[in-house]
Amino acid sequence: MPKKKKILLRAYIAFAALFVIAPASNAMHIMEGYLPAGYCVAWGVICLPFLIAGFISLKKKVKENRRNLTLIAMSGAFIFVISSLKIPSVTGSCSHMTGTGLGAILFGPAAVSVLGIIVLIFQAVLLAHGGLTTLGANTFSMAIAGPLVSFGIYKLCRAAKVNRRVGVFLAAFLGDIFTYCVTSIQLALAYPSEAGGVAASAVKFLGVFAPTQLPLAVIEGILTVVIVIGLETYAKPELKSIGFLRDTPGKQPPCLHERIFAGQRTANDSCRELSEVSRDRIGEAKHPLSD
Amino acid sequence: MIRDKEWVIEVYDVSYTYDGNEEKALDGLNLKIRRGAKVAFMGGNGSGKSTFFLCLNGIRKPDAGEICIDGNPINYTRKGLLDVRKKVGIVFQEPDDQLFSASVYEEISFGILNLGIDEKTAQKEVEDVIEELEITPFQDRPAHALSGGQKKQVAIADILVMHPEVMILDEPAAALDPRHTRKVQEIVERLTEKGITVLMATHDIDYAYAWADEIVLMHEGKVIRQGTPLEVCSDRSALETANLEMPAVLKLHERLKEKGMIPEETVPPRTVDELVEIL
Amino acid sequence: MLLIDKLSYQSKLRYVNASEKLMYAVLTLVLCILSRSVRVAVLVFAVNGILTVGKGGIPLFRYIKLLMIPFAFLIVGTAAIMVNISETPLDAFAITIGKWYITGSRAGVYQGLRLCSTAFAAVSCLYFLSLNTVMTDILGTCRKLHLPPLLIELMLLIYRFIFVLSKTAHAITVSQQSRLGNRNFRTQIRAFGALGSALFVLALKRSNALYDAMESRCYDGSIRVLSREQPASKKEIAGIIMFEVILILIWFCNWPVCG
Repeated sequence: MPKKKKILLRAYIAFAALFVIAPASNAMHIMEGYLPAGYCVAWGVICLPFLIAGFISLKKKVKENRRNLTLIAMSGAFIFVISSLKIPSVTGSCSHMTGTGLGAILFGPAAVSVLGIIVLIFQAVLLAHGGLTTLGANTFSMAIAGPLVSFGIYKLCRAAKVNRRVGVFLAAFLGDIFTYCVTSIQLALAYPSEAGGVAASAVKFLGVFAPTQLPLAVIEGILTVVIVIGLETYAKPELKSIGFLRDTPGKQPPCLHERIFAGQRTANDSCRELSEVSRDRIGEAKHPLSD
Repeated sequence: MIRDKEWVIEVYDVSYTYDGNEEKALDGLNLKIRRGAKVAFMGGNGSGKSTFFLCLNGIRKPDAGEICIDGNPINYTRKGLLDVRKKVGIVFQEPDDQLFSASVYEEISFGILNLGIDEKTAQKEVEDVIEELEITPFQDRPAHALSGGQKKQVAIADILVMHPEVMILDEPAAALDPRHTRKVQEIVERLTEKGITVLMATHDIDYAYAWADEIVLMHEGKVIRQGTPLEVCSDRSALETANLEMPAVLKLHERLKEKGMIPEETVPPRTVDELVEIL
Repeated sequence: MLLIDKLSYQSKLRYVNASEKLMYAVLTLVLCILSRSVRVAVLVFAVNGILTVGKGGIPLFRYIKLLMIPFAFLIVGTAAIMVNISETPLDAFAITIGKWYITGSRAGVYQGLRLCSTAFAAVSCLYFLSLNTVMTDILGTCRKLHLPPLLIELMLLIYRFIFVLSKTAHAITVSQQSRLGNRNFRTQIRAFGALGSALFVLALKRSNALYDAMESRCYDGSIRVLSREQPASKKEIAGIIMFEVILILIWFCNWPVCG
């Protein structure tokens, strides 16, 4: 090949590579309008049972204690804000973490499924990341599949007494990787390759997003570790107070003073103790609070 | 015991400790507040003012003691607490801790709808309050686009729309510029004209001295001095314990008397203007 | 931050009935996706552009910048669809690399172009909704659609809390950067971690304070608020329905007018 053409070719490849890597460093939201209608509906239907289960679980928590409503809402806002912050990146380009791995570890997969779809709606409308038609597919990959894997690995590592930091890292990292794989498969199913079908198409999508998604998953893993370890070191009472969100049903809920942040007792909660408290202390208390 | 309806708030020996804390936030606090009065609460940070306010509307239940609103002790049942909160409203120090809705209109309508008022009447009340507190210019802006002063106006409107008997303002002028501080002071004057009892926590001794009917000094969860502004502000030792200075006007008045520039018998002035009158 | 939110409060179409806008955006979105027709996509894109920039008053250069946001994903994804690596060349293009070909078929290229046009049209629908409708109005419409109240309340609170937390996050970031928290990669990681933990603790504290404030205003378990909605206009609804019918006709027939 003549020298000039070689140089041009190299320049072309470098430019194309930069163009591919630099902007596409965001998390795996499938953009608006990208999936055929049938798949949009199908993924939405697949999400429904998980979302319903998550919603019922949240409803129960709010019924237990109305104060949990603002707590759960703040958690959702927290996930959104964390995923909107620029994270340090090796390439220097603009990157964001998904926040769902962290969310799964802190709040549990049931809460994250519902909070996740709400966050995705806000991301679509307020940030143009993702879309309303692709909400079903994105919810499944980012709010259900990824967090379930993150949570599962986190619990597994805890049970196997694996080093704390390694456990959290693996949970967040593998959750991210799994999300990225699921998204690639979702795209491949909708757009199978002419030369190789769904499998080849999946390989293509995996390959094309790998340069950005793999380093991103590593960084997200590290950041999740730093945040979780930081919280466990300096914010134990706060973690306890949201630990109830994660508790499996049937497990003994944390006692009241652990549950309320910084141990501030409130009158409404104290009403539950009414039957145990002597009447003289508060005068004429008539009926305990009924819910 | 016959409850005196002259007192809108009576506090008997109230104590409260936060969970996990050793020290008491409130330690045997005794207080009576007259209906329609303007009461300034002063004291250092951590003296218990905010905790006390939260006890007055039932958010915190004292470990010991009793609080009576309108002659009736607070009934810590759901209905009892609702009744208390209809009568006693708190404007929190930090508006971002109070405004939960992005829409100003929806935010203000929350309180009054909770009182069970029908939508049409509620709409009129909300619009009246918006006009009265001069919120109209920014009523269509989202809460996050408002300045600190505007947020404070909305926070006050939130409570005023519920027509409380007692309005508690926890450091209303904190972080406000002079213009918005004046606006808040004007709003407070109008509250008193409506007959609302106003309790205000403030660090501004000059304002408290000029405005209040009564000043309450708090320190370490107790009331160390309660009385008319002149009584309290002349009590040097109490002021010192509460980490406060004498109001500038009073100080100047005393110095001028010492120097013989004004006669001994003059009534101590409340404001700079009154002092100038004397001179 | 959240430019789209800011613009939505400034749009001249802000006070048009929110249910109408939602209905229009969703119906048009669905038709774009169902039809996957380039003709439909071009018309929808043009109409939305006129509505948003012309009638809504959103600055044109801002609108174009916003349209570029999903561009990167579009390019990369579509390239992945159009380009194949196989041992047999396809009919559109083929670049030899040893035994293999980097190749694409005509049908594949056409599919890619259809996808691009559909995606852009869909994004323009989403932007019509988000740039001309305020979030609280959207939530008000969702309430009317009888979505579960708990869900609506959560969304309402989360929307407001996002801004409260963002402000805090920004303040912490500025404070960290003022103290050289972004000196190198390691300090950046540590700084972000500290930001995340601090934000979490503050979020919990705030949530408690906000709940106290709501209780002080006699919150009884359901968030009831008054909304100020413009009434729906029969003319506008008729216009929307007509437009959707036109789209359907274009989809199914080959009109020489739009061909």
